[in-house]
Amino acid sequence: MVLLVIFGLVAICSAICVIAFKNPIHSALALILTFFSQAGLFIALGAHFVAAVQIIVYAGAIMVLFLFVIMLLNLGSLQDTVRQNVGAIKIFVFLLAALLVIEGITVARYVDQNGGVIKDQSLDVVIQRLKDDFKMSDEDIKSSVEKLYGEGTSISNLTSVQVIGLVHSEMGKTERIGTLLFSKFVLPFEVTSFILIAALIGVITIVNRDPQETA
Amino acid sequence: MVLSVLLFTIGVIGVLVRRNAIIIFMCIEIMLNAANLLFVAFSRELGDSSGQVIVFFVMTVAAAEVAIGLAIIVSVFKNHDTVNVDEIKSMKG
Amino acid sequence: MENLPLNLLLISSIIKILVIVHMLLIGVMGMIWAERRVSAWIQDRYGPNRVGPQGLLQPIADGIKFLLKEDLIPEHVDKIVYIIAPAIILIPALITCAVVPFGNEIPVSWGGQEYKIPLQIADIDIGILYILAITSLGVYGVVLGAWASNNKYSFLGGLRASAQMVSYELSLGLSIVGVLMLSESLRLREIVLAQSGFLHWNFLTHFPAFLVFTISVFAETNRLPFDLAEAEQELVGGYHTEYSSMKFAMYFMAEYMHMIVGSVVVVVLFLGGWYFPGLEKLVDSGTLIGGVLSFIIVFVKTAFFLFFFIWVRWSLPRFRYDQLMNLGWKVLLPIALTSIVVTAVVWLVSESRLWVGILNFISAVVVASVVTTLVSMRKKTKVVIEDDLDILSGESPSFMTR
Repeated sequence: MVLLVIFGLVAICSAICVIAFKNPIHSALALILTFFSQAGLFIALGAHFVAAVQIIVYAGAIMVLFLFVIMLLNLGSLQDTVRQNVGAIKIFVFLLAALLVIEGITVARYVDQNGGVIKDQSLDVVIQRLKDDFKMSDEDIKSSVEKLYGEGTSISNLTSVQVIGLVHSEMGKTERIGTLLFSKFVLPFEVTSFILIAALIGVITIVNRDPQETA
Repeated sequence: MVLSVLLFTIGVIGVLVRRNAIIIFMCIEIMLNAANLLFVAFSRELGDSSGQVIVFFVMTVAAAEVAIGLAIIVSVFKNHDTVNVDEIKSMKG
Repeated sequence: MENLPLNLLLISSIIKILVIVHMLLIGVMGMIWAERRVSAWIQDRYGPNRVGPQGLLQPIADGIKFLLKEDLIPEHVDKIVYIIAPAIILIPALITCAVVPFGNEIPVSWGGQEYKIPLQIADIDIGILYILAITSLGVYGVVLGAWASNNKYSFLGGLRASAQMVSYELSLGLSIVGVLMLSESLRLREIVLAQSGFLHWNFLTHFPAFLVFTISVFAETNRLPFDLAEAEQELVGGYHTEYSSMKFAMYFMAEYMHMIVGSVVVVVLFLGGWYFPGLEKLVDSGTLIGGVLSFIIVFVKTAFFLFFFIWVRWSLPRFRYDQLMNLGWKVLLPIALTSIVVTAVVWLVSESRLWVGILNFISAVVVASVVTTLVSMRKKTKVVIEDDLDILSGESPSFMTR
């Protein structure tokens, strides 16, 4: 919980810095910090794999690209002015922010009151879910229970808090996410690969074009 | 969750206020990230890993989008010598 | 990892962190000395031999010199970025070693009970992904330092470095996928445990991947065949032209730390970690001798690999930039990709490491020759680029011999 608050504050501050800094390079730096604190948030939420991917993809690849383009075009020297009709935008932004915050709080309340899905489900349902989603055998479940709560404990005499802990620790594991990715989400996975190829071809055609042609 | 909403809002403000195309792009990334955060938070709350898998997909799409976007920015810069969105008017014909 | 009592876990972790960080720092000093001595030996001269026996104290003298020099901050730099850039490059180098196993377990008796402590600071679930993630951050130190220096040559060095590192990161990541498939884990400890017995060492099964990984590590550390970012003859000093005193020393140390960490990772992933033919039983026995021996084996293997680093640096000329990009994108990447496919398919069909190894090798040779032929055919139809070095001709896939 402490981690969540710390990383959250860092994320928000650096996100504000992204839009406040004049120099694009400084903005990019602040954005990297945002991504890092987001990875920290993911770890605090138990999603280790997603956190690692976040750093590899965003900090390792996307931001290097950003920096590369900024440096290549030498945008650091360009003056970036703020838009003119700020008044109207301010009101709009304020309304939007208020709306979003109210919506967020309502949803959070709702989830808290109705207490996630696993809280009031019976043990059998949880075990069935683990088996269905993660293709875990009884032995897998047994070994992870023993790893988490010591030798000799079996899943049937865990408290409900402990069961939630078990599900959370399983969820973050790379192996489980991989299983899910290649069973339930195979089709989206293939589609993403097509998107990536399309992006690749698109980028090559855009950049390869002779500037004279379009001018 | 409130956090991710705040992040999203900052992203939107950024898109509206700044005129540098690259910064606008960065703000879009912030918004995507806020959505990701929401996915992960909900996936924990509901005890369902699907959220984390979807975050993975969002990241791939974001990577593709950034690649294309930056390529467009580079070629626009080649043609117009600026990345200031107000000064690029050729789309209006 | 076994369930250690909390206080033992804390104490052992602190000791491990202290020991490993200091080993890295001393290792950097050793590397500086070794680099100068070995290069001298390769070039048939003496090298530093005045300070201490065999010149062993030379790095300390260098360090004192660096500390005492004036710390210049040029007027035209972007101050904040200029100052944090060396730190950004040093930190990833230091924190990657948190998950690297330096040896097998050693037994410790605590409160009347025997516990086994692994010689690794943290054995996390995402092990190798963590290393990939953190090493990918090293590029920021270079790029930001280059940009902040506000100097034409530094800037060019930074651009080169960022493009190079992003390209080679891909082959770095893809080349280990085959290894991960056969080890069935991302934990570095389990990857090593899967390599017990010489025939199970991954560099035999995944020889092309091993080559690709090694070359990519060279590129990631900006070592000589790939050191275009700091090419002295072209770019003065590259990205660290404007740096002086301790900040320059930090860049320098970071390079050596990256080398050391990179070598340990290669040893762990491909060269069998703490296993050595004939000593597997002793190393796995869980006794004190076994633990110490495992550490020594890792140390010796790493030292050999570091020597290889230096050897290559003083034997090979630098690549030209288009050659570098061609090598990365058109040769290493296809080899890594085919290696993944071949490993997966063959492993599913036959489950034998022998066939995986053989077919991996054959497919890599085929891919490399096809790709190089295609590249050279394309080159012929285009304008001939006049240069004294020939462009990647389709002779052989072995670039190490060039």
